Amino acid sequence: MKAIAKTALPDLFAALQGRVYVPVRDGKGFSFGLWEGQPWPDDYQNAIVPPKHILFPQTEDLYTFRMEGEDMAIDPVAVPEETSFIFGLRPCDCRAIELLDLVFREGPFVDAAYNKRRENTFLMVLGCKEGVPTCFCTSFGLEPAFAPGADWNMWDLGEVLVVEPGTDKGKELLDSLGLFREATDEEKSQVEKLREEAKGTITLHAPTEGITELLQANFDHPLWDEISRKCLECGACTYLCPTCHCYDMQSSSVLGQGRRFRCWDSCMYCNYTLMAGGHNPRPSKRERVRNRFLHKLQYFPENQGEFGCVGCGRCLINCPVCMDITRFMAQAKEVMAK
Amino acid sequence: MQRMTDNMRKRAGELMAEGKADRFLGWEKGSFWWQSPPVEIKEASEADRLIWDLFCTANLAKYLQQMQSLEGKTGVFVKGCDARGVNRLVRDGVVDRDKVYLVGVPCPGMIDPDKVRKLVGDGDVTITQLEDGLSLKGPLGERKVTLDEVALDKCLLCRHPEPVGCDEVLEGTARAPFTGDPYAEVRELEELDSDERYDYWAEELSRCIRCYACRNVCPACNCIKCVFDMDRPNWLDGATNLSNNQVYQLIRFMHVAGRCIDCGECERACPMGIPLRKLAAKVDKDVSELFGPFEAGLDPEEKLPLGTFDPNDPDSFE
Repeated sequence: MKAIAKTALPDLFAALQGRVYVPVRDGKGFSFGLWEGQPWPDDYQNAIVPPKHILFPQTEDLYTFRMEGEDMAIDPVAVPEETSFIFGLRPCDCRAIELLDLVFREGPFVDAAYNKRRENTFLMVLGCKEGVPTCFCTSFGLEPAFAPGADWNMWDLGEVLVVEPGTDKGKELLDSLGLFREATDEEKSQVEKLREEAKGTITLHAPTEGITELLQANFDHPLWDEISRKCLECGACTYLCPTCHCYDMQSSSVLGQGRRFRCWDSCMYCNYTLMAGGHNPRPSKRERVRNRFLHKLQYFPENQGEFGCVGCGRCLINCPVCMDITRFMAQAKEVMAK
Repeated sequence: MQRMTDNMRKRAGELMAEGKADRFLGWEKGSFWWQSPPVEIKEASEADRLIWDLFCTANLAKYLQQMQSLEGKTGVFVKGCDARGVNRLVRDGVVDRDKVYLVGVPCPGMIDPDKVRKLVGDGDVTITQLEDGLSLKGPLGERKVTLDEVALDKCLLCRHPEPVGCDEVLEGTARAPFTGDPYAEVRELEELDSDERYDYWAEELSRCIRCYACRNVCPACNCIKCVFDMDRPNWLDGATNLSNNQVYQLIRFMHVAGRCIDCGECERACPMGIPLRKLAAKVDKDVSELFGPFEAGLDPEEKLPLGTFDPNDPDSFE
């Protein structure tokens, strides 16, 4: 374990060779943006938009094309090789990136662009001292102030930041930076205390036990009609979800040249899974709302062996009509089990 | 508040029992102190789920579109902005007024949870109504405030807190209507030169993630198929960038010109904190200046400035 004065953070950011993403004040909260010399924001809790866009951009060019006489020339778009540092992401968002890894890197297909970005990215996690009322990470087995998958775990002790590397590449990076001193025993025990106390601050609970099997058995339950009627079919929940990863592929072209790109898609949208010819296996709001919950609680466990929710609470906070996944789970357990 | 809640439950139950409404739309308490989301009451016996407090912000008008295909009448509790939203949908021909029973609720204005959090923190928060204001209790302590100190900005500027065009109105006191300049913020922006204005909006709209929450809560956005959802022709592709975001937002606000009821739901629903009401207000101001003073949603038979031929049109077409 090492330590650094928080006043020295700008020196640390300047010493990191690559793109340094930090929480940046933006609109009504924070988002992850490039560090441009600003001081560390002490009132940062979590970003409104999770940092998944750094690895999986909302819009990403795949190739460009242009007419050359009778022929068409196609040029691939290279993924930048540059190293990225995501500094200050929370354990829930780190876990979410591990879940995206299962989809994009560890499944039968490896997504080249995601994979390259991921290889070149350092996840520098800042443990949560306390959750907010909408946090329920512990329900999904997370620890609010520690991320097992992080390159660095960090804890804010007021004046100093204590850092412990979690991966070989994280250790190598930490050893290469001269800005740190060894953490004192006092600091180490403060970290232990912080980690322990943080767990007790997560008060919201999502009943996960047996939920996958229950949902598997109730694909056509009337509860789906009931809960979906309230949904307004906007994409706030999915676009702000750190594990949602659906995308569409589209092209645009003008005057004989254009580009093929992919962009985030949302199961809340009416064009989601719309096929050529006009058929949509999810024709109404009921099927689309169901898909969002089942993807997190049934399909992800079936396909990746893990829940697809990390309990960050963004969907609860940002839904204009307060759809609440924890409440849905409790309701499902109550009415579907009958 | 409790008296109004009791009245709402009683009235919804009675109207459903009398057959004047087959279902009711209102608000129920959500999972947190700051949430009172919409609820659909299907049986008179469920009426006890209804509540009235200072978080019944969501505009219920929008739900009437999906109720149209159902048999019978839908009862709706409406604040000033909800009532105007219903008038809007009736005027646009997407909701049949005969299938709706409107119960007005005089609106005191709704609370902005962020303003409360700043004063007393989040978590275990209780808000008690006093004779002359509110008592807020939270982890950071106790504060006595007036409702206006913590009300949503959109409510502070509300010109019609009293619901209009209802079948009946419950007894209660609405806040005083805002009588100042509704376009003060727009005028401030208009003072900037065009480059500064462009930079201001470029910065704001670059944050748009195109979740369409603003469109989907809007009672003026009631097209069966939105132009932005069309795939053939694909008027706007799915790429999120400043140019596309500008196209989306500007076309949407031009499309609701003369029909926006200024309920401010677009701005409330925006997770990115984009000041969308300013765009709405600018369009509204232009419409009023070009076609004469007009406020949408006050009358289900109103003549829309951009939807009515008038030989005495103030624009001479020269």
